[in-house]
Amino acid sequence: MVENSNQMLSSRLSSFIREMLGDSSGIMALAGLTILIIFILMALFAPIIAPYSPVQPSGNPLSPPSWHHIMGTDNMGYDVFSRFIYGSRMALTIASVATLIAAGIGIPLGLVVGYFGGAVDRVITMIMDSVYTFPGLILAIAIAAVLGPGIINISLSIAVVYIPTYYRVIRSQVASVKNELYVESAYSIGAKTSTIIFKYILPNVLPSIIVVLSMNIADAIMTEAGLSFLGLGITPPTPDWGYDLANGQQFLISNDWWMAFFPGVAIILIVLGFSMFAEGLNEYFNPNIGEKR
Amino acid sequence: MSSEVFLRVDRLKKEFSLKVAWLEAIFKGKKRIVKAVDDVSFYIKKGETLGIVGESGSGKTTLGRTVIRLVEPTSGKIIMDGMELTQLKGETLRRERRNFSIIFQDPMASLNPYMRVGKIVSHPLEIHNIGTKQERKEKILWLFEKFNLTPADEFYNRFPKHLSGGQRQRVVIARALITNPKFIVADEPTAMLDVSVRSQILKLMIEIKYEFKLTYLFITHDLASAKYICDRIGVMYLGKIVEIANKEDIFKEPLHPYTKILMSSIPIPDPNIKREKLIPKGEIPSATNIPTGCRFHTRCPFAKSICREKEPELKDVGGRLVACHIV
Repeated sequence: MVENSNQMLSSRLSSFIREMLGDSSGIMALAGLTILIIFILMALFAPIIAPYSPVQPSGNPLSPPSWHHIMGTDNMGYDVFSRFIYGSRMALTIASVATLIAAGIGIPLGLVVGYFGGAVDRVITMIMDSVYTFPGLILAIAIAAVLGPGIINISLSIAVVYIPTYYRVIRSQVASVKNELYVESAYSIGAKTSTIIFKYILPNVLPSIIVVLSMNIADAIMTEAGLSFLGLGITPPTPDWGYDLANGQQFLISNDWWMAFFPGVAIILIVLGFSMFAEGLNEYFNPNIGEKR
Repeated sequence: MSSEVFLRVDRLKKEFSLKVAWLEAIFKGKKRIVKAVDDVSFYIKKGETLGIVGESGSGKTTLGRTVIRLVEPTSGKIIMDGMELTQLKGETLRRERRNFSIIFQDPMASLNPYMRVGKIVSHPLEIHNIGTKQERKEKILWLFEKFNLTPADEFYNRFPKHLSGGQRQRVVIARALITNPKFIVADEPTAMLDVSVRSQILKLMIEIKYEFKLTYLFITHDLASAKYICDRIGVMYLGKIVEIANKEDIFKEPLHPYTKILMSSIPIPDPNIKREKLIPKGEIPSATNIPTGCRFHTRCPFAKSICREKEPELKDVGGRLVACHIV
């Protein structure tokens, strides 16, 4: 039985990959996925890949890219390449923790409120809408300033910005799915409300969430970089792209471009990776999106 | 067939209030109410099939849903197998649901697309804690064999999207039947199916009715299926039952003008038989604005002045019930 279901999973997985490769949306998702896998491997094996410690001076300050320091060193003499590698850890950790918190609050809230509706729905939607109207970064700055630095605090302040996204997507989906006949069928066979919500409604609204999820991680990485750039993120000298970018831009004027350039490229690449992956998934789940009329 | 009454519905009403834009609500100052089911009473004997026929918008689907408490009745009583269903609440009602079920019209929409067929059918058993895992599976496979969903263990692991309409409807019937209920509401179970599949499904329903000792409330607009499966037939018009009688009587000699019109709409497969074709005037009126007096008078070819003023009650005419002034 177990073997059987394993086989089915692997065959489904392979057919999924084959389908993804079959058209342009698949290529896009795959390209995004490749970038992501590279960054994830980088984060996992940072100590092996990085030639130097990211928090100890390893050469003369402000030396340009060379064979010893392929991305140069910064004003403290830290190896930029090592910080580039280690920076992926911080970016991915904070972005995924933030997204998990946001999804963990937004999805159940949207499910329950969307299912029951009524006065609670009005109140919570109003609160969510008012959060949603704030520009994301500004709200995150405000919360981060109150909470102070630290991985959990930063994740939390980013998460707050994204809760309404999940809430709104899930709530509107639930509102249409709850009137489906199979939900009424579940009620007619005597299913409990919790069973109806988790077994009949949740699986039917989940596909739309996967896209939002990968899109949000990209956004969260940007917000995290933004916070660190403004000095509200992680305490230096912990390697962080946003901080390095802010630090490096002071030296652009003296033509020491490598300090700001490489962290910037890292942020662009990883955000691009997530966005392409999300868009590819989106086209896979909603085949009509990329279609010409 | 025993003469014991299984289900008694007494003065059942279901009203929906329509959402009115707030501006309209202020200026017109009243809610618009749809009387989907308006003071309906009937009974079904044990093992009997009562058909409810009527046009779209006559409230027959709402009636079916209200009878098994999928929709809360506005007023009235439903007594099933000696138990007052309208008194049940919350958890008691939920537990009681193993004893009655419903087959919906659209087999495409009534199965959860993310659940395997086996799980769909076993879910009612799981919900009501009936049998062990092994027993459930055996029962389902047995039922699949019986329903010609073969090879059964292959169907067990399929998703609904891999099934045809007829197969899906058989799965829906299997789900409705799995807890051994006593009563099933069939809400136009064949309306969305191909004609070739229809008779299969109807035959299956008749078969299981005897085998599982079921009582049916069979809702349809298709008089041919009603004739095939029902013992008695109630004709519904704008939320009210206008005539209720044995199948033979109602097909041989319809009494209410509306029933007459319905019957005359059945095509006769012999071009030499000429008969008077009765066609109702206009469309069925809106349920928010029900005509005064007899609600059928606006379309009735025999309407008299009394019909415009006084609403007729169901009265006994030679053993059958008819609501009409001129009968």
